[in-house]
Amino acid sequence: MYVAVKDGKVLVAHREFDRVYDEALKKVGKGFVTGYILSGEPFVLL
Amino acid sequence: MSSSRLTYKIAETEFQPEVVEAVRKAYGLDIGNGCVYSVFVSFKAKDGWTDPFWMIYDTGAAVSLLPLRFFDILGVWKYASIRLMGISPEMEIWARLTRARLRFIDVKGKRSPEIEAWVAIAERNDVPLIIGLKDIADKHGFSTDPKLKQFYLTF
Repeated sequence: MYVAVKDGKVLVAHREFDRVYDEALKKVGKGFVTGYILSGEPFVLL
Repeated sequence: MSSSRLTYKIAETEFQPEVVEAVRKAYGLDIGNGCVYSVFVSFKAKDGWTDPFWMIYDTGAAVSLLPLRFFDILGVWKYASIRLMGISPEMEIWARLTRARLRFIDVKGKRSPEIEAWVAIAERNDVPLIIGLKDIADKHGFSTDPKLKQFYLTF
């Protein structure tokens, strides 16, 4: 599962990287982190 | 050049419910949590450094792995087509092996020196973001502190 995060908020989450990255890019332009998370893995909300 | 140390938390991760249940049935035990080493990595793209990507630091991976979308993000123009195999020969994916410039960033914003490395860009977008050892292992020291649940990359 991929997530894109900005300012402590999840912008997009999906299993395909391109969908997450492109949607986050469209929403906020830049300044977000995209990451791959494993089942149950806690992630840092930057 | 003086060395710098980047600090990351060792994250705990839950096993899939079916794994938990299978272990409970066979052993009568709770398997507990696993752990994962994740790092932030930025890449040099056509128009400067990218925002950081959260990647799995995998000492069992021979080479770093990125999803297909990176082909455009990095502006790749030269590559070798390869076939990557996982834990069994049946699990294989096609990828484009290319050169990339990257740097590690920790949660405090501390950055590593720039590293040029071979990376494999998969022909699909559902693969994990993995930092493997090729051109990475020989550029830094690696240590852990299990008590503090932290690991360190020293450059």
